[in-house]
Amino acid sequence: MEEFGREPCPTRILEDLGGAFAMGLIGGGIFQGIKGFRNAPTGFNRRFNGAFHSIATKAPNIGGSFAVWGGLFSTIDCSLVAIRKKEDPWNSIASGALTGGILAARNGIPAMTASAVFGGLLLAMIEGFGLFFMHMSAEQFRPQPPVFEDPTNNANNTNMF
Amino acid sequence: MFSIEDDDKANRGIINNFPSVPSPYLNFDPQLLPQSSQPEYIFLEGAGSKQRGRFELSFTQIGTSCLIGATIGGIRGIYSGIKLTSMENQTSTYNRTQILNSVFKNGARLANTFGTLSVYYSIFGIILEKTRGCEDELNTIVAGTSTGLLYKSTSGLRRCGIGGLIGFSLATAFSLVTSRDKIKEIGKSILHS
Repeated sequence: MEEFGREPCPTRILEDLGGAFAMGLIGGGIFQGIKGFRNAPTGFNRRFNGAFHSIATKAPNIGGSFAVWGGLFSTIDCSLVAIRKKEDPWNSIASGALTGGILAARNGIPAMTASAVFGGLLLAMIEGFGLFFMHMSAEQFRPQPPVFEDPTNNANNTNMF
Repeated sequence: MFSIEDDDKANRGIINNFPSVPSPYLNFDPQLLPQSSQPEYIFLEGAGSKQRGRFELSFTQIGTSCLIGATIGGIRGIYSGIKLTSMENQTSTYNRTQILNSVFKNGARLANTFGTLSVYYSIFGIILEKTRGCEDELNTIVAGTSTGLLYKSTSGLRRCGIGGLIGFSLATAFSLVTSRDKIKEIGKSILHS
């Protein structure tokens, strides 16, 4: 939605990659911390250690997989922009599907198809919501049609008296 | 005001002094314009002058370091994969899979390490910038040192100290390289006074 707030295309790949990595690292860190805390043996120290170990070993991996998704998505998005010479929701949907497909490339054709469909649907949903909210917020900025009084009516009224 | 038809020698001299002036209507000294060696950015009105602090740069930094890590790790993976597969006589399919596995494993591991370090550094940098309210070399050095300390904080006091030292020296070297001009000016002012 805030297209003017983003970097131009080649730099955007790095920005998306970094943003995805940071999101995965921090979000995955919180998630893995809770999981490690719950799965550790009893005793607060052990639970704390378990949480810490779990964060230190697993959070960077989650961040890495997020980064791969974000970076590949952005790369394909930018390539599509360069090829098609326009930026629209179809770019994002196509790049989501392609990203899903490419990342599952080593698991065989059925997995690739499923992953591509999933990626495309996910991005279609995100883009759809974005467009929906944009239309909603655009409604309030629609200019009001000015209301004029008919001057002939007035003239008729004055003539009557 | 000067005009091109003016035969006045003084005026001509002044005009000829500015060979880069494209039109007589623009015949002013370009040096009267504000001169600065740094690029001048145009900001959105009302957005404040501090639009591009550390937070805006952090994602690009993280992405760059991730990509550098992935590249170095991938090259290392190719090398070790070829070394591994050349020892055993297997089919080419097996070799290809082995090399690909090696590339992905090494690349992902180094990219994760680099990215994590960069995220720590960015978080420390943003916190320092927001709390101190200014942006200078001290932020870089403190953030680098604490990144090193935090990254090695789980593996013993000695390694933690070594990590902090590495972070400190890298950050100092970086600040020395980026603020060469500042250091030169400080040195000049010390010499002249």
